[in-house]
Amino acid sequence: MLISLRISLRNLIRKKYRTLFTLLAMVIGIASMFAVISTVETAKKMTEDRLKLYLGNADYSILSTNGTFSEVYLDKIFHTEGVDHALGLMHRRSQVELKEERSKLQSRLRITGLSSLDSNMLHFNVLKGNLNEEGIIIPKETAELWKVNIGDTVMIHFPSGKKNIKIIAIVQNTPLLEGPNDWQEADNKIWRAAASLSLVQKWYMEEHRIDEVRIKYDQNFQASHITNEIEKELLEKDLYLQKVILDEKQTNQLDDLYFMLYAVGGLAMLISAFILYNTLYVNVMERRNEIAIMKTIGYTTQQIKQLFLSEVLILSVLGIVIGIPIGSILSKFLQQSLFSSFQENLTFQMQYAYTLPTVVTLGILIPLIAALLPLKFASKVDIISNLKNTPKESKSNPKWRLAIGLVLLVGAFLPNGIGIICIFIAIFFLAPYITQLLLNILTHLKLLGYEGKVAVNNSKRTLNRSASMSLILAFVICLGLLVSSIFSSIEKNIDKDLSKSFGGNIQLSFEAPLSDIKMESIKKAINGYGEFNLYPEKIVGWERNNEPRQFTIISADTNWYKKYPLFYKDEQSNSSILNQLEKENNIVLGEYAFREWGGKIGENITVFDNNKKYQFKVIGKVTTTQHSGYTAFVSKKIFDQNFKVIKPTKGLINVRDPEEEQQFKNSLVDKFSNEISDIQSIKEEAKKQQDTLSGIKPLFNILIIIAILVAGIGILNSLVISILDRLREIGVMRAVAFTNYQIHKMIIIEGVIIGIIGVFIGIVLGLVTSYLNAQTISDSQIDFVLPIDTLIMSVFSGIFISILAAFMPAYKATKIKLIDSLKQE
Amino acid sequence: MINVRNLKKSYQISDDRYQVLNDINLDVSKGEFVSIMGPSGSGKSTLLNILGGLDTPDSGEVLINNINIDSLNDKKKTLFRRENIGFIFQNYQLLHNMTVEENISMPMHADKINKNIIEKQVKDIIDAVGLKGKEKNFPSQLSGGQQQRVSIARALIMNPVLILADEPTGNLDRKTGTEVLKLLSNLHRNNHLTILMVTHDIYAASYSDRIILLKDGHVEMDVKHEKEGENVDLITNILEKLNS
Ligand SMILES: Nc1ncnc2c1ncn2[C@@H]1O[C@H](COP(=O)(O)OP(=O)(O)OP(=O)(O)O)[C@@H](O)[C@H]1O
Ligand SMILES: [Mg+2]
Repeated sequence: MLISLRISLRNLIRKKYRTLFTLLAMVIGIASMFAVISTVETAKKMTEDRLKLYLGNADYSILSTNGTFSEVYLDKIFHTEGVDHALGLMHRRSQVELKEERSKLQSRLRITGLSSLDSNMLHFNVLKGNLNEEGIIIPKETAELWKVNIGDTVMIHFPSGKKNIKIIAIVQNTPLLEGPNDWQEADNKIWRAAASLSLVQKWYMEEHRIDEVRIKYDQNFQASHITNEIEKELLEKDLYLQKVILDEKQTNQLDDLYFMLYAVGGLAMLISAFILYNTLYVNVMERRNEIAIMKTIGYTTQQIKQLFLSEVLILSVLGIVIGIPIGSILSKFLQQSLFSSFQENLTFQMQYAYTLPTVVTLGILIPLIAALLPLKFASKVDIISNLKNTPKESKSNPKWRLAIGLVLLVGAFLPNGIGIICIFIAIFFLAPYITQLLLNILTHLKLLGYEGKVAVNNSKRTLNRSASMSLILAFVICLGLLVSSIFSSIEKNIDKDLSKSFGGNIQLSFEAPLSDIKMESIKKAINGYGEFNLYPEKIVGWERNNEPRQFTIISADTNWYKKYPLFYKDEQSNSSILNQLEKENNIVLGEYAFREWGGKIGENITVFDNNKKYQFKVIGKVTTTQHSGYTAFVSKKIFDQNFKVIKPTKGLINVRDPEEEQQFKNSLVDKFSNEISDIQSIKEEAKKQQDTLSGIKPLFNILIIIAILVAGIGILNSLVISILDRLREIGVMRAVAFTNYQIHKMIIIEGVIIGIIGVFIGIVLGLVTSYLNAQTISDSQIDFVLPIDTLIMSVFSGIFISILAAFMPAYKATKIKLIDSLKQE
Repeated sequence: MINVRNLKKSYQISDDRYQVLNDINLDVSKGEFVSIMGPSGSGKSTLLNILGGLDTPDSGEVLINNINIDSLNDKKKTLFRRENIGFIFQNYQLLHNMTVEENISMPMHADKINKNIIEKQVKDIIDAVGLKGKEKNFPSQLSGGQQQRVSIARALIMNPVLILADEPTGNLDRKTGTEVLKLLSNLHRNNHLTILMVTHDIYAASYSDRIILLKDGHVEMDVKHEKEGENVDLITNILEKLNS
């Protein structure tokens, strides 16, 4: 093995350009695979961690249907057997006055009172200051924007009047205290601060009241036992215990995004594997004589295979060693743009625990698979024919290849994703035939002169190689078109989709369930401007494969929904769904919830509210922006029948005069700055979605550009190889008549041919798959949009990259020493 | 036609410089058919390649039709070669994926000559070298002699003034070799072509009207003879002397 390793190394060094480009391709392949996997891993881990942090590592929480309850329960529960920790919370709203004058909207502050500031359920990472003093705690980012330091004071509005409050500590950002990252963001996002519970109670004149108790169970006790014990304590009727379920789907629905990331990363790896295959194939072909001689002097097939295998291993190990560090840089970059597209400035810890072994395994496995065929060639080398140097005949593709391809093409009419997969495989089988066809057309067009004709001939001679290269470019272009078609469709439909399911033109959320008195005053304020609807929501648990999940059930006032629905199906279904909803125990699921649930319409879904079980019959799947579709709707009647009477926490308003909308919104915020936690007009929501989308787009552009680059390296590699195959021929052409420029032109045309064919197949494939994709998810907001700009971009970048890729080989070809090349055979 | 003055060419082999051509002086007039002979490794091919502009000399001057080919840039050199020089190689150097016609017409296409002219010219030359009926064949479907005819046709297609042939009969048996030699000699006579032919074969050399002997990097001997087949004995003697 050692000796074959040494020989392999020498072979690789001897062909240094080829080795370099193969290695480059592998590095990019491995780096992008690594980047994509670790990005997804990190994003997943982080969203889960954030959720945990936000929920304070709690197992259960106690809430009241009335909003607040007496502090004595905190003490009682804390002393219940089996309770490890209990934390009392109270969230209150106010306005903050800073030295700089800011609008009311930008001055909203939410103060959370905590019964303990250093509980291990909610750990603050203190950067500066002392938690035991009297005042508020804010995160570093907020302190910077407020231009304050510990010891400084800010003016805060309380029901008891304005007070100067001291900043006692500055802590590292945590989900509980996460505020805006810049002033512009403060228009939609509220500032957050924490203080000790007793202080908040005093400021708000709500002594001994709390909103919530979060509980952590002792691992040594049985959970059901503790739950029983606690429920005994909750004698007061309006209190209820709610299990805290970590369901990241509630806040994070990036699955589609992850899938697209994987697709691009996988494609890059696939291309580099193909490049490796090409290189090895040529290495074997070139050394046929050498192999034949080795066989004559007694080398076994096994030993010869070993020789090439060590080349693969050397390349893979180098690829991994160089690719992984580059991948980790790339993934940090991807991560940053991924999170910044959600307008969140987060510190994150990259996750490599799973990525590293996966990438190393794949980084060795994929090249080995790519090497299988060339290795087979190497061991099959026939001694006699090679020593005699009889010219090889190029084999034409077997008939069955065409047959399989055509049969699969028919499969495009199959429903769902199967059609798309069929097309991809079909194109793989048909690529040489399509290439041949296009080459024939190019021959007849006679656009490129004599050099073009020779180039077309050369491409025909290496049909399978040219076809594979075009195919790779085609896949990249197809992916680019598909992604951009999806994006532009979403973008185009944002306004339309929103207006179909916004439930009016303003959405409101309240800090706490509204008391009857508060509701009255809100009604008064809205009256005259338009209609409104206040409604409650309920977080419930459900199960999927025994894994606890949770989503929010919305109480739907069907009369309001007839005018201003909060969900959308289509004109006809909407009214029939609303009629059905009035009936016994019917429920409709948001699209995402439906997908997660995995059942069929007409089946029952079981939801849990603590220990109670409810059966609902799923009568429809609808599109809604509420909780990003991870939600369900039942009629108001059924909601009230099933769940403890919960006061509204949400509101929908339809302002009659759109001119008045903004002014009305401002006045509402003014009046109820302490109650309203979130207010959003349809225009603002549209803008937010637009911004998120334009944040994600560059991420994909980067990935597609990387994929195009790798495809470029593939074309380069392919051309270099076909030139090496034809050194003597090029020498002859140079000797008898052709200028360097003409040879140059010929090779660049060969590159352009690969480009044109790749672009052509890619565009057809991209349009067909975008169309089928839109058909497949017809009920969602994705429909078929022709992304003209991406289309033009693909044509240019596809051809540009192939011209670019052809320059190096063309240059190399013109630098061939004439006499040397003539000596070659 | 050809004037070679103080031509020197050496190769670096590891630490030693190996002087292949050492001060060659040579004049060939238009219409001469010259054979270049000499032992293996004496620099025959090197000389021919330098004359054709495929290789460059270290020093000295090579004039073809009073043009110093070495002073031309790459493009001009190629154009000069295309218009003035035809090459014939021992191993034919045909392109395997092109038919007989396509191989022959290649230089004309490079010159962007009108299609109809190319067609006619190719037809004529195929007749002239006796390959009628083989137009659509690929080189692999031809015998060695036929392949060499294709190569000769390709060398002639641009109506060059000078043919450089490196062992054109080296791979052929006596009979086919003779046919090729007769073809060359006819072309020489009828078209007033200047031919420089490297050969090991005295019989082949006897078709030429001048024989130059290279040895140790210089011209050892330069003899003219008028009639075909004459002087064979004389040259044989000289060669034997040289090799001993
Ligand atoms: N590229 C090169 N590098 C180094 N040495 C070379 C090179 N090309 C030729 N030589 C040397 O120059 C000498 C002359 O070579 P050349 O091919 O001109 O000989 P020749 O007379 O044509 O021989 P033959 O009759 O065998 O064809 C040889 O000794 C050869 O080894
Ligand atoms: Mg020679």
